Amino acid sequence: MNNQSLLQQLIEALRCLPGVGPKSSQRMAFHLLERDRSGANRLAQVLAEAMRDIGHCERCNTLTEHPVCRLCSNQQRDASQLCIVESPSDVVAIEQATHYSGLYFVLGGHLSPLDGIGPDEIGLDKLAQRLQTESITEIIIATNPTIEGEATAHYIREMAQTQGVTITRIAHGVPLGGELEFVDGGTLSHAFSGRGENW
Amino acid sequence: MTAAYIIHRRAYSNSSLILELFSESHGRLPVMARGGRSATTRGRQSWLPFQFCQVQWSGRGEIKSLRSWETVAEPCVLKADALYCGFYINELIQRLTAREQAQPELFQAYARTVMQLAHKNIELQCILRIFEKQLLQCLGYGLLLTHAADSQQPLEAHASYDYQPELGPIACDATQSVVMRVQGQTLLDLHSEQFSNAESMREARQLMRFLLSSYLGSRPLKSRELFMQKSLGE
Repeated sequence: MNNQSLLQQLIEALRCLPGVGPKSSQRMAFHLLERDRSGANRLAQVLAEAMRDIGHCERCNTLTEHPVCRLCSNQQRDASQLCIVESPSDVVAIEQATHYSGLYFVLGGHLSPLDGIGPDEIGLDKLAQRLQTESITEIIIATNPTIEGEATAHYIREMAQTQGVTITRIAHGVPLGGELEFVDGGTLSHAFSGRGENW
Repeated sequence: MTAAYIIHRRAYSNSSLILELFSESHGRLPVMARGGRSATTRGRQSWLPFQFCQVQWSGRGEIKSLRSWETVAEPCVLKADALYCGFYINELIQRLTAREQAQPELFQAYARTVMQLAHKNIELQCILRIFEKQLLQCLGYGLLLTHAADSQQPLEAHASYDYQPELGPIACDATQSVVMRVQGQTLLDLHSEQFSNAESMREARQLMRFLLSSYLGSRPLKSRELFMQKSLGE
């Protein structure tokens, strides 16, 4: 069976966290055991509960412990707008940074044929269903500006075109506070060709 | 430094990337770009597929380490259907070429195809058929498109043929039931890389699909699913 000591198992288990190597996981383990037992107990309890209860929202696919998430069940939000993102963390990023008041749809990643990820794997069938049944007037595509995100956006656009909704895509270009000299050529040419009048 | 294209990229650990390169001198190979995902470096490179670049790597293992990287030309921006086609040719390269086997001719064909897809001055279907033909040629499965395999007679545009994999076209009459029936015109069009009508284009697609399937094995190409929505073909 497992002949590792409990301490070793803890150190090993902590390494599943992003950015944590052997050295830091060891520090974390000793810190929890020697200085913060109550914090560690709380962590263990919340972690167990979260892993047990958090699932995907029935409507938008984001992470939630309820059948329908807080955003989807909020009556104040504008149900005619739907923003499509690649992951739950994108929802949080948009919520924190913008005044967007519509609803979301979270894809399970992006189309990437070389990784074996096609339209069905990221839940686009569910999105198509939603577009058909709900009265959505605008969809905002907020996939990442990678080529996979680009392909996903194009696929969604083709899918939604037949539904008679306005399809918009978030702008991409030079970051705020950046300097043109240091921006890579692709971004700059994109920013240039997508220049706008609303500034 | 050697010329290369990025075929695919995937995230590795916290901040690194593994890039699948298709290079002129060493064929397809994976290289690791350490710190390639971190946003801290000023003017960091955007490692995008379909970009022609000059690269240098080192290492003996299966995954090399990227030493230096320079983009030479403007990035080829593939959009919409051309992007799907780009995924398709990348998937073909990934599935059909062996790692670290130099394929300079295929590299040239790939570079030409990416360029054509970006400029879209030829029909996409046509670009794909020509690439598929060249790919099979470079892999040693070249097609016989000028004369019949059995009789050695030149192909006739209006005759129908049974195309047998790894053998070639064999004359057959219209009533015979065969696996892959094609018109002579289709084969001649594929040879001249100019498609005379929609029918020969359609037949060429079926022929290529049939021939490629025997080399691809049982797992279907994922990028074909992207086209299914509008059944553009391949």
